[in-house]
Amino acid sequence: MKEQELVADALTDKAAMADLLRLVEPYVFQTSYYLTGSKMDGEDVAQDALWKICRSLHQFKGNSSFRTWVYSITLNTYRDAARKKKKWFVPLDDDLVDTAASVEETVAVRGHLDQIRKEILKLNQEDREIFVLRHLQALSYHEVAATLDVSEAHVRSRLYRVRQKLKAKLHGGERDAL
Amino acid sequence: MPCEEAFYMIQRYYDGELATEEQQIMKRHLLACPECQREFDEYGALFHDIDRLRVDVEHRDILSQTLERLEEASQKRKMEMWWRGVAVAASVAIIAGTSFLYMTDTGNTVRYRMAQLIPSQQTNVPTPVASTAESTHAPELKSAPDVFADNNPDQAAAAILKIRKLAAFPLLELQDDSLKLVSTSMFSPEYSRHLAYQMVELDYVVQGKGEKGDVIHFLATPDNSQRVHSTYNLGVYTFNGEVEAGPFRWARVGEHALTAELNGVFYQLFSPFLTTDELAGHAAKIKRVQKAN
Repeated sequence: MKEQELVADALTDKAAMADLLRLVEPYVFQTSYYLTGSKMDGEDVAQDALWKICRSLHQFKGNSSFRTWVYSITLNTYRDAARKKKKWFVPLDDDLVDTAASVEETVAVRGHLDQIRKEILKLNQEDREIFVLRHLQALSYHEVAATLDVSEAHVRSRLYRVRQKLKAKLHGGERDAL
Repeated sequence: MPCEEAFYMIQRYYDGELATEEQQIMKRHLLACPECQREFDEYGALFHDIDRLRVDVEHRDILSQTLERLEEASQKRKMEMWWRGVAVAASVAIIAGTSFLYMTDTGNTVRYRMAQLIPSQQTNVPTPVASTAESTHAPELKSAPDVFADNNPDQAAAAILKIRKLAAFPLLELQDDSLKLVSTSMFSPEYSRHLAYQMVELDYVVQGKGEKGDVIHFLATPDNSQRVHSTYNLGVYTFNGEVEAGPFRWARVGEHALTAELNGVFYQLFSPFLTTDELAGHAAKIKRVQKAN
């Protein structure tokens, strides 16, 4: 109910629209950033997505949660951009990971975290989307499933395998060879 | 508990989904199974890493850029709305003026005056080519009066002034108190269902002039030759009194109709040069979508 009121206000009032966008902007950017693996590309995707959110806000009917709706638009914007810019799918070199982003990390852990980011970028698109939404945006399994319009069981099954794979690569589990 | 089951339990544990009882079962298994214990530790390290990935990344001010863009779009829209209003006023001014004359004069006189007026006032503006069934009998003009206005208030005001001068007889504009809009509607006549052809009906009553309660019908139709510009107009729907407008130009004029170009779309304006019976005949075919009062 509260979400729908926020949206209704935003459609009629400029200040309310600004408030609403201020609220979702961090999620839109962070998602775009993790999906593209690059700050600059993430900014471009996020800006595009934010604009689409403004322009299609009147289409939000409240059938889904507003959060899910925002993530869906962000994902679709990312997919459109990814189709045009294929390098996000197949990272070829280390430059794809934007090392300038992690300002709070110490040098010691930085290399390790960069390695994880590289592994995330190597995932196929669906797995990466699931991973980003569940772990980096802290959505519940139910919300991830609703955003991607797939079953919760599917999300679990994919994510369990992805984590197993990451663990094998990063923490050397002998039984995890895939 | 088999190790296979522990595998899922460990992941659910780190997802925060294990009930206390399940946690105890898992821990008992881990104590007895070094391999699963190692698995548990490795997943712990992975989840720890994942937690550290979530950092706030500084980025350019996307929010302000979006808000600025929104403001620009809003200003542009206001401008376009204003312009549409002017264009409608201009087109109605012509028709209303001739309508009024029709009511106060004989049809023949009006025809004579209009035929004299328009061709003699043509300037060197190229005439857009229009070909509608309705205008086949209309004499083609080589040029049209210069009443061009392009999103410019001064140009639009000058264009309206020019139209008024050209008409040289009383003009009624939308603001005229005696002109009351009764209904507006848009429809596609059955005989043109295969064409991108549509009529706009503006139904006015003139009060206090002519005979009280006289009804004037204005019909406008996009020319089929401009189909590409008018496809979005297809279908029967309520027309709210705005036509797609832009540079307003007279292209052709005839005894019964005047073709005008609005923003690249040709409109066939049926004037009251048609007899009342003829107009009534057209009006009878119109599906009235909206009728006020």
